Amino acid sequence: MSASVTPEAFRRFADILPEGMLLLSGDGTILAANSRLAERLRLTPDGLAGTALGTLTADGTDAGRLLEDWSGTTRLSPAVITMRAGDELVRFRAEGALVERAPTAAERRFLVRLVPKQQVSDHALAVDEQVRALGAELARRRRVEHALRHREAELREIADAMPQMVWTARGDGTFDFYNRQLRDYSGLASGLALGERVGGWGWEPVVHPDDLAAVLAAWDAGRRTGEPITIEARLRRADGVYRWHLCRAVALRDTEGAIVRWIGTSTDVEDSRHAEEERRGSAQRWQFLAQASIALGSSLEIDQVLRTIARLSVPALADWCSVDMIDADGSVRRVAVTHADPILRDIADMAATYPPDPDARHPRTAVLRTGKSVLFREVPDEGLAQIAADEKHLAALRRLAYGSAIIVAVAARGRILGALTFATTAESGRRYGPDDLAFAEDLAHRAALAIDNARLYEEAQEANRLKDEFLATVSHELRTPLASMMNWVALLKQGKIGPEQVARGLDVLQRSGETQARLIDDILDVSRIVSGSLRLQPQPVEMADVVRDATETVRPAADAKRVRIDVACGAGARVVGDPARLQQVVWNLLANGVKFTPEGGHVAVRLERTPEEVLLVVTDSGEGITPEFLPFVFDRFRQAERVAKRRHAGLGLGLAIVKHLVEAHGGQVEAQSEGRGRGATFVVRLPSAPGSA
Amino acid sequence: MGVEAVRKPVLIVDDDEYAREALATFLAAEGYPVLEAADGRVALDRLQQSPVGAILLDIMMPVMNGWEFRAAQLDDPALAEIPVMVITADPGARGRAASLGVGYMPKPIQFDRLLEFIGRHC
Repeated sequence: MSASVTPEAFRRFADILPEGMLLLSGDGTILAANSRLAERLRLTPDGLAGTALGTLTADGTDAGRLLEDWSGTTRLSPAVITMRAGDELVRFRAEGALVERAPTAAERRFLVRLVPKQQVSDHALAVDEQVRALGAELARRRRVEHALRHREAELREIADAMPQMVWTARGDGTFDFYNRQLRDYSGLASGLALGERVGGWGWEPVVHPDDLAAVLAAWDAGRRTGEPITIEARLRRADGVYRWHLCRAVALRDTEGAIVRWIGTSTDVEDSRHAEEERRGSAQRWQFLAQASIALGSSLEIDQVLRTIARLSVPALADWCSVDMIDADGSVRRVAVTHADPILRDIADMAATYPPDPDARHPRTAVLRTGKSVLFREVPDEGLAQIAADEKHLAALRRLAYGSAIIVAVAARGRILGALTFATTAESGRRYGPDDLAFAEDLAHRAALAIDNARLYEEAQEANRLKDEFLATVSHELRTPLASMMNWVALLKQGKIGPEQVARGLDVLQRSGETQARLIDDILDVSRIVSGSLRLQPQPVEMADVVRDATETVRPAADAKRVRIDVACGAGARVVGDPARLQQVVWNLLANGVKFTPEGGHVAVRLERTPEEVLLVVTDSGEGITPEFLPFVFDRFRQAERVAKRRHAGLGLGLAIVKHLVEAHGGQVEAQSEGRGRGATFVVRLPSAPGSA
Repeated sequence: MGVEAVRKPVLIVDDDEYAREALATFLAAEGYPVLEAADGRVALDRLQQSPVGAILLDIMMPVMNGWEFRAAQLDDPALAEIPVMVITADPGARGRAASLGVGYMPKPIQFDRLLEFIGRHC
């Protein structure tokens, strides 16, 4: 009653009371009296208003003292006063209380209750009074009940119209009302035990088990102290889904401070919590992306980088993550698996030991083939059954309890290098959406660039290594004939050898000189090829002539090794080209065949022609080429054997020169071999000269 | 030279046929018996068959190179004491030759130095 108590407000509630009531100012003036009192004093309420209390008393009551007594307490402290009612005197038990404090007496308000003291001499009157009082009391109660019912109904209507859940409880905490939102949400319309307390409050099943202890503690503390309660907790929806709610409760107290009622609300904050989580998640992701970018840039060790990515992506982007890469031979290799739960990490690892997927049942296989990302908002059990190789695999996949999954390809310059798989667990409740997919794709793109960089670096390193090796080869190859020549020159200068040996020495000098000249020519050719300054002087060329000339050049070396050269070349295979360069092509292929064919073996060369092209096929019965080396036979500087172990001389430039010259003529060359010891075949295809068909 | 002592043979290990031939021709003209081997493995076989007074060793060879041959030679007590001269175009081999207790001669060969070395041991 902190607001000013007006006479009107006083009359509204005092008039329904069965007892006499006064609103008194601090200076003893009656501001208002209720009808009951006015009737008892045989006056009207209006007649009483404005009168000093002292003028109505018949026993010299000191109104000032009474008011002083009542000022000291909020409780009604009783006194007995006698008042005039017409010509008779009525004794009242007067109980007053200060209901409004103020600095000046005129502003202070006292509420005074006046109950007539029974007069033993007037017993009948007293009985009559009792009966009337009882009747009035019953009437009052009916009115109050009606009013309360009306008010309660009103309250419920208001509560039902509110968007949040509302409940009320009695002072002892027993719940006595839930609004419609709460009933609908919980689905426990009658299940929420109202007014019952059997082994709990009745609402415990609605609260998430993990939050229940905190909620009960807050509720107990609130009931003990009467302080408002505020707590966030997950509440179970009728369909079993828990959503976060902000739960508040305030206590209503009576004038004596006792808690008479609790009013509580629960507001759904799931979405705003999500927004918050998303914002946190977003920040976490940017941080992750920054870390990932650092990791991607910090090492050229591809696997190491991918393992770092997998480690960082949990939990920023996923509950678990796996990285699969396509190796040079096309096989898929699992590079990394990270799981938030170390036990499940092992299971994820185990599930990954089933990588062969010949029927392309796993979506990852499709991603690795097409490069198209896939997003599974939910991973249904049928999906797992479809990708599982067997029961054991299925069991492992089920243990992983997929929620959502994203598979993105790692692709650079049109080549698919591998795939990143991100998954959430059903338990974490995280679900991927298009934003996550875009994020994962961005990450995969960055990873691809890093891998591409690393590969380019590796290739550059390899090229560098090949060049070093080539330089070692060049110096060895150039020095070897030089050493022979120097030895022989020194020997010849000594003059101690006979004429036959002198002739032999001169022969060696000539051959070594030729060998060296050819090596230098090759180096110069490659240098021209690299600089793009190799020029052809094209003219119509009969390939049979080219083959014949080249064969004659190689024959001495072949004869020395007792290697037979079989030639099957009919006339008419004409191309347009540089005859000297075409002869270089054939010579190189033949020399190569002779070099790698053991003594007593043979080399065959034949020409074939179609209207469109001329085929030159050189086959040898030599060492053959291993499948690993086959893709590299035409590479510059590349040799199957390392320098210090080589059994065959040469710079390893011959086939590179062949390939370039053939391509400069608009043709193609390919190498075939069944493997080591199985010989090799080189096929050159050149466009036929116009009109030669 | 009134008395011709019996000379011990020299083993030439080099994969280059012409270089081997030049050395062999030279040493034969000087009156030394010569054995030839195209790589370290063949050289070890030759040594099992007949004793030699000295070995002229090339480094860059297929199958078994000069360094590998030297290691195998040191492992065999019957062969370890045979003096070796490494003949190579690689100037970087000097240090390694010294550490393996063998002589070193860069290419092209200085015949007088070579004769001096052979003369001491054969």
